[in-house]
Amino acid sequence: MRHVGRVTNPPLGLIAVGPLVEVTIQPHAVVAAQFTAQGLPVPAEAARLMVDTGAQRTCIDQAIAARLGLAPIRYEPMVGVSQKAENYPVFLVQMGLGMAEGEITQQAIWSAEVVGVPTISVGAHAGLIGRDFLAHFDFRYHGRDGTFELVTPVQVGTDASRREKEELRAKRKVERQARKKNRNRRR
Amino acid sequence: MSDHSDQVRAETERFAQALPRLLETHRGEWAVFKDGSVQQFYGSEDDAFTAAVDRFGPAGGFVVAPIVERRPIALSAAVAFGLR
Repeated sequence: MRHVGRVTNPPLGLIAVGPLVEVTIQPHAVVAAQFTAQGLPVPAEAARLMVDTGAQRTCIDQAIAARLGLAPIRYEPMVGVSQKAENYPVFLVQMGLGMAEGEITQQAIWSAEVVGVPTISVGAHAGLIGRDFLAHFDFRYHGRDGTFELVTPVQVGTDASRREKEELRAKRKVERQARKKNRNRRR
Repeated sequence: MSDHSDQVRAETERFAQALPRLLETHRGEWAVFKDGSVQQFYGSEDDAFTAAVDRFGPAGGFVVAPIVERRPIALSAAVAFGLR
């Protein structure tokens, strides 16, 4: 499966805009399942991130994390342009990426860590896709024709099926807890 | 930042203090850390997070972290190159 990015007016278009990828960010499957079990919509947000092979980690604007109600799982020291290590929150999320193979198109979904950084949306992107995310793909950059590709041998659906199973498991757990609570109330 | 974030930040500091000792016996594993101590070790991050959410809730003030040395992460190649 592959995700193909394309800009107009190559090669200058790709130089000016860069390899931007639109991903969908939402809470981890276990948290998403709790929303679903309560009949609430799972919060999700589309964000354009720039592929940056110079970035160790994938990061997003902290404002996105705030809008999605994400809770950090820890803080990690990161060095930015200030050259000083500062602690930033790390979130565990699901990231979705539109991929295709021939006629088949599907949203591939991964569980991924993202680092929340203070507002970095100075351009057309709201974060960076770092080498941790790229570890799952072959990244092909075709500068002359203004395209780039993220290619994975993973069959789309594998991770989606896993997510569905996780959501189902979490939903059943919430239902079990509700039943237990009801039983205790009756007593 | 919220109270929850402050809680995770403080818990992360306590985890960092405990890390040298944990590295001796649990290197490479994932820990759920809360109230100043490891609640349980796991083989994967997903397992650790799932267990932590089940037990404490999504905003339960826990830390999920790998038992590896903590080193500052370079946000961009420009940093590693030394640009200011």
